[in-house]
Amino acid sequence: MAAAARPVRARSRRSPGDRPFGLSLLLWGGIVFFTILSAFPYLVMLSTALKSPQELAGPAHWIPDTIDLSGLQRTLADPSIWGYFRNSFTIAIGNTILVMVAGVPAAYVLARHEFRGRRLFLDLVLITQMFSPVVLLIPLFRLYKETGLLGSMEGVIIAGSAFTLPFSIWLLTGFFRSIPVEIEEAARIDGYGRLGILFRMILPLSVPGLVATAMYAFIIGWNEFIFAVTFLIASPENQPVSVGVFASIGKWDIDWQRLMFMALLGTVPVLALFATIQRQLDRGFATISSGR
Amino acid sequence: MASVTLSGIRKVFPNGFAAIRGLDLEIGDGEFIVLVGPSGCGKSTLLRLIAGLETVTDGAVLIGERDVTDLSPSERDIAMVFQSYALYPHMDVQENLAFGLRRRRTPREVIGERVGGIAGALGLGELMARRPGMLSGGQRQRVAIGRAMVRQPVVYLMDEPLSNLDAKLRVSMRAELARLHDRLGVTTVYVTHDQTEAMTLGDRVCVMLDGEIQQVDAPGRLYREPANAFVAGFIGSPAMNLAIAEVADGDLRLGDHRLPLTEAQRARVGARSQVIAGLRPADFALRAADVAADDGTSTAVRLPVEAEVVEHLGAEQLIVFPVDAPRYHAGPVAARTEDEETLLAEPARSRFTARLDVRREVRHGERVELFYDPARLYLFDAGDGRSLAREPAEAAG
Repeated sequence: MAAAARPVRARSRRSPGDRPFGLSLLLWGGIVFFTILSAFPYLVMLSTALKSPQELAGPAHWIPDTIDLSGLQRTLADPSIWGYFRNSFTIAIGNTILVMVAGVPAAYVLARHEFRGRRLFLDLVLITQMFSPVVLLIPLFRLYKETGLLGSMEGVIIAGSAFTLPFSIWLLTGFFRSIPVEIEEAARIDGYGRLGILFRMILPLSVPGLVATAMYAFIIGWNEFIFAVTFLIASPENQPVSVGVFASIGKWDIDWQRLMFMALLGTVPVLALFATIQRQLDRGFATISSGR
Repeated sequence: MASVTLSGIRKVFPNGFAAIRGLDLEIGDGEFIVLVGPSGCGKSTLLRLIAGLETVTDGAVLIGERDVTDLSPSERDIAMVFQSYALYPHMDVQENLAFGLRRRRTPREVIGERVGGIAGALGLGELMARRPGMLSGGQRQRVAIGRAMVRQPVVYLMDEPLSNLDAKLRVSMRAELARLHDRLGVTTVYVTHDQTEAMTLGDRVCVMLDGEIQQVDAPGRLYREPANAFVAGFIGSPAMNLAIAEVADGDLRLGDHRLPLTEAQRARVGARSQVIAGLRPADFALRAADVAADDGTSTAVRLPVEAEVVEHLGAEQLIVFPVDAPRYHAGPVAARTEDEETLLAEPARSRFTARLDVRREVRHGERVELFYDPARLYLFDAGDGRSLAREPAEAAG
């Protein structure tokens, strides 16, 4: 048996060098294509940000004739930019916290308790994702005006997280369901109640899921635009980066350099977060897959 | 240590499925009892009811003198070993063993002492800092058993603990479990679908089908005196040959074969026109002299058959031969044991297996004469399958 099994394993573990040339070409072709596709907007942003206004007014081309950093200087010299970033962080973190605090217990109940209408509830949660936030803008605006949330970051966080929650609940439910129920039963026999099990078993075992969901909530919060631009229009001190970028579009002209630099700078924190958490995500997945 | 008493247990799941349909069972102090049956028979549910992982719909669970029906699993003073082991993947072996004790606010020194003791006894010493993901199947199994032992419960509950191990390891772990039970003497309720495991491990074996107990007895008695055709077919490997036989002139007719009955058997068959006839594969022999009657009163019955399949197993050979009589199946189709699965369904025909010695090798397709002792013929009621050996002999005619 062992002898028979060996060649099979050898085949599945062969080095990339053994791959047929055509397949390698196809794989690399795919990788290069999608890399260019996703990098394209950033290259456009960079190219535009580095061109002088005169060059921008001329015919479009890729490589700037002269590197013009005046846009960057102008952007960084504007003291309000740090405010934008601070506000973006506040909104993104607020969104993440609210989503996790509400989403984790909801997902746990949906993952572990069989109750009448569970499936329907999960479907309804998903259906809310089909509505554009835009349809709720006017009612929410009026509501916020009444309750004094208009112009506050809290208002943006609450509305934003309401739209982030459904998908987060689905993500978390899937993760919680992947944890064998026997582990919880063993913990019950060991004397732990629902909360003890949630905090000592489920959460530690779902770290990759929690990180992925938190990451999703953070990115949605960071990119929040439609609620922010609507509710914070009269409160520039509370506006996030996304609205700050938008502010480069003036009544008469567009400051393309500032717009592109702001947009580029705006992606840096998210990129940095990805880079840091990527490794943790991988490690987390490895733990789960081998930890049964 | 404690006894376990189940009285009037019923379990109906919210979807209406009745997993346990009224069941009484007394498990003695220090006894090793095995719950066995095909999948879906309710054996695991019963174990979970004892553990408190499920609540009973009706009835009471007593552990020792204590009514634990409404107590949580942790208050029942039991420990459970799961089929999947259910080790905590994010904790190392040491923490896995100590986790339950820590919850009970056991003093640190006591935890250290007990965990150390168990680790020594089960040979886990070098593995203490490893996580379950880094252990082999057998090692995980030992940790799971260690985690149960460290609690020093009054009852061990084991849910198919060996089914995830490979065949060889399973046999050695089976022996280890038996030794462990001898040493600790703690009441153990063990669930398995493997009748070999049940027969080798259990002081008593409880055979279940469709949420009901079919028979609870010592393994030997279960084999020799099955209460009904289901138990007869389930216990023993290869399984007992069972087919529906017609009663004709005081004898049985099984297809073309005529199976004579003894006087006692005739009296038990009474006025029935059909019975289920059962013959153990091991009760056949190639020579009449090898099937010496138990008390010398009966003579060997000759059965000319054609060997359709021959399996040489070294020390013995299995021959399969067709019999023109309807197959008998106890329980629902889903409950059939793997031994019974056939590729080509032929409800009107049965296939009998004979386990023979290898003094003479039978060839495929060969016509041979088999002998059996008529006193070894098992008879069951064709309607409800209960054994005719258990009921008082009815007046013939």
